[in-house]
Amino acid sequence: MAGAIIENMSTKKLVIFGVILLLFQAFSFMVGGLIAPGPTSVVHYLATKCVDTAKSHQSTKWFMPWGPNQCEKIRTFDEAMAKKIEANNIVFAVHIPLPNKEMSPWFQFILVILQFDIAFKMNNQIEDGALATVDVGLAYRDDSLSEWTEMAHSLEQRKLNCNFTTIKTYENEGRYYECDLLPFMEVGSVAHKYYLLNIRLPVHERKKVNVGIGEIKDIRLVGIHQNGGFTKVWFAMKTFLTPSILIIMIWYWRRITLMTRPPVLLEKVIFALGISMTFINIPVEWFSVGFNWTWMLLFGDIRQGIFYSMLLSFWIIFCGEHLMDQTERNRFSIYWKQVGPIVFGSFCLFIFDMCERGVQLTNPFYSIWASDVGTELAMAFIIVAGICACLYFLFLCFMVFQVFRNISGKRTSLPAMSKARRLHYEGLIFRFKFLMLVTLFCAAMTVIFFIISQVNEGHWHWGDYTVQVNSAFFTGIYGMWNLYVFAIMFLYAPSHKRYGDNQSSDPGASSGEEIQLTTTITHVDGPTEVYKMMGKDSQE
Amino acid sequence: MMRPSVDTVRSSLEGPPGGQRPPVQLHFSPRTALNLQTSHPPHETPREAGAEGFCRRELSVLPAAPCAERGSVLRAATMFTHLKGFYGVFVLVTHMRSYCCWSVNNFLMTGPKAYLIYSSSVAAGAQSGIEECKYQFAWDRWNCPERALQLSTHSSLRSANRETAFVHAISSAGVMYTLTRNCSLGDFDNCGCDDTRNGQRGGHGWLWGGCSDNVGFGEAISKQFVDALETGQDARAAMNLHNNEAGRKAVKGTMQRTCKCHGVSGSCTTQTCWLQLPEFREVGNYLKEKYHRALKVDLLQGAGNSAASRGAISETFNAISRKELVHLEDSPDYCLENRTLGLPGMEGRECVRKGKNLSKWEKRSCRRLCGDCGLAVEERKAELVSSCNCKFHWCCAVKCEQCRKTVTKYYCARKGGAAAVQVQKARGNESPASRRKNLRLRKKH
Repeated sequence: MAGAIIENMSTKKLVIFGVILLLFQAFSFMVGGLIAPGPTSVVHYLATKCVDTAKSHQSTKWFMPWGPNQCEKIRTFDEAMAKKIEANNIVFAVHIPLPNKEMSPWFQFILVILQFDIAFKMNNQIEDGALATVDVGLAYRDDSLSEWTEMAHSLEQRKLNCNFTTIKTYENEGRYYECDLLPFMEVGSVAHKYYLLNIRLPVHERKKVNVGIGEIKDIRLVGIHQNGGFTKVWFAMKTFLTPSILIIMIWYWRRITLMTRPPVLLEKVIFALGISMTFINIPVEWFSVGFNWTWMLLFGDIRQGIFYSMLLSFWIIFCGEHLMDQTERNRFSIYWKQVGPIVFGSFCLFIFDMCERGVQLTNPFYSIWASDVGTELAMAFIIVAGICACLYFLFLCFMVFQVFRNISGKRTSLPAMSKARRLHYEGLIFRFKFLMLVTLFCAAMTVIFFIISQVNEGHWHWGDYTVQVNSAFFTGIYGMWNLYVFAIMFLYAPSHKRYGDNQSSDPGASSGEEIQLTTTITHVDGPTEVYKMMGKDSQE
Repeated sequence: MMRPSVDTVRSSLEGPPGGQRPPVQLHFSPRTALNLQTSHPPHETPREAGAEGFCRRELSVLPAAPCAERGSVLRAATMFTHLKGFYGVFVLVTHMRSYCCWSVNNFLMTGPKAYLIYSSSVAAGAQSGIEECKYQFAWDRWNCPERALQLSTHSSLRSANRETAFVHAISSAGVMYTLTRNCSLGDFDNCGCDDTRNGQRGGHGWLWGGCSDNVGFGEAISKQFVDALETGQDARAAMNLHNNEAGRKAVKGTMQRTCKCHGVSGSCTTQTCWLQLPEFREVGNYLKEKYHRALKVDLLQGAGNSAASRGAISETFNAISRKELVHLEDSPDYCLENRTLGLPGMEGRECVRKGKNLSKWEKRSCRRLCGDCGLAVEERKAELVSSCNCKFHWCCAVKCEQCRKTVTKYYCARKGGAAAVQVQKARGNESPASRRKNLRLRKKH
């Protein structure tokens, strides 16, 4: 990459550029930490036990837990026993959201988690591998008086993974099992104001349906949705970042097309990185506020996946092109060994995502983890993707090691070189090391903030201010990778300054000198530059 | 939400100055209380139950008037209108049903009218606290009797010992717990969304940043209700307030953090965590431990009601961690019967001795309850009819067989005393009979 801007830039300018980037970085952290609320909200729901008095259970009646037209309720199952109500006549009703509130498209998604409160009874224990079969219906309406419209209905099975932590004695009867969270529902867009869930636990003795599941006392649901405020801040950020990346991308490509030679691989990869960044940036989510696009969640996953695999490929190719050995690269096919695992791994994850979120487009209650086959399949996909990731990192580390070995090899012969050449090599090494350092910094920041956001409670109180650490993590890290791509496109764009080109060497011209810097660009540089360089070299 | 200022609370709660309360108010039969408790399921709002629920519904339409009228209909209530808040939650709980409007009236006076909707939950919560207390102290010398609970809130006879501390803590925890739970049932309109967290966003709080936790709501309302009953400014009041707070902290302290990952492909890049209410038993266990490690504060000596001593009191209590239980007095000797304090003594108490899965504490209960109090342990064999080989299905179907088995029960008896045996017989007969009754009920279905 003869004469990239970073090599020709004066240190002062580079520092100024770095400071500006850091300012933007701090700003993106602050936007999340100070303006945005926490990324998601959690609402706890406790299902109301309604009694279905109608004889036929197939009626399309919906049961409301509270408000006008609320259902006939029972408080405990002892009451049901006294009133001779059958299990099939009990409907667990949950209204999303709680009274006096309404959902909004700004919430982007609703994720519901199911928890059973199962009381321990000496002679009614949970059997091994017990399956709970739930008959669940989801309905919506947009004003509090109209009729409910069915959205989805499904018969789902969930594996009860419960253990009783205390000793199993009569004295401990009535204490609850500790059960794993069960994924229950995922809706990819929140187009309606009110949602209603009606859950039944049908019992079929002969078919062994819901037998041996213990004594379910209550059904608790945990609803998770993205906060409206966070969505707004996030959209605003995307809307701001899209043009900035887009502009620098156009500028970068114009620079490349202005050159006399065709673009080299590394330049193409950087451009592709820019494209994938823009793809992730484009705020198509704005449409989700107006349209009921349930596939937005899946689409977001795909976009992220594309960007991640692009970024990983870029690192490999960047290292490869800076290997400084004599091998001619500059072809994508050279890197199939390294890029292969990335592509394969992300393909696995894509399939997995399609199996989970893709199916959820039609059945929001579907979960790949609910069935044994699904769990195995999902695990297989994830393990394969994990192996691919490990392979990739081994390759990457090996390549980085090779580059450093070559660099140190060059270093030893540096003092023997003429001043101009030495400066030139130092520049190239600097170019690599700079990206290496920035990348490591970004990766470290990502990891550190990820850990902080996982460990922390989500927000810090700092005097009167509440800093939303999780939101800061999201906006900050997102901003950081945007700035990273921005900086790469800016700094590694070919420079206008012709004198910069002299610094690259042509291996053929370096008479007697073993050290060769095969950044691929040097080979395909326009003839004028090469001649110029040769002239300069021979002068030396 | 504003806390009513202490002055208004006092003026509305205190009885006529210097006036003696009619003695009838003190004699609540424990029997009634017990019945009420067993009929109320724990952690549930008795919304539909009895007059109280009915009254509540009326009130939601017309705030004050109908309930007051209703109160006058209830003959007893006229009497109770003089009685103000001294009895506190416990009395309120045990008599919630029969004198609904009395209690409701009291709350009308203690706080904003909006609180009316919480009173049934508060009552159920305090009750669940008491039930937990009974469970926790089943094998202790002091076994959480109702009578003690009532006395503990009565101003002149208020004790300030370790047990009082526990009662206050567990009941305030129960109130907070039940309010939080009922919040998730959708019982309250403004639950969680008090905009404390998103104050600057006004009414858009829910849309912008969601509501604060239900627990915060439960805590705030519990504070309003339970703490408002403490009207004094002396050391006892300070102690009770401290223990109320400790109870609420116990609920928060036992909450479990649970997380769910929902990032790209379900990875943990995006993770949401929340605190989940534990079983109430956990809170009870936690507070029982705190009970054993309760701190004694020596403030009763020479503490007048001057401003200076008040300052000293608050200073002392502020120095103690709010998670700890505090008490001012030592517990009385529960071994002996003490009529003035309303202690029944250990005679006739049941204890447990053998059993596979008994804890150390339980195994030693006979020695603790009987032996150490100078009583003998009497062994009684009782034949129990219990259901066995039951086949359960989820919810509401049980098929059981009846089994007879002989169990050995142990009771504390005076060494060579005959009167005590009588008591034991009466007690011993009670439980199998009631069990049989329960069984019959079950078998029907």
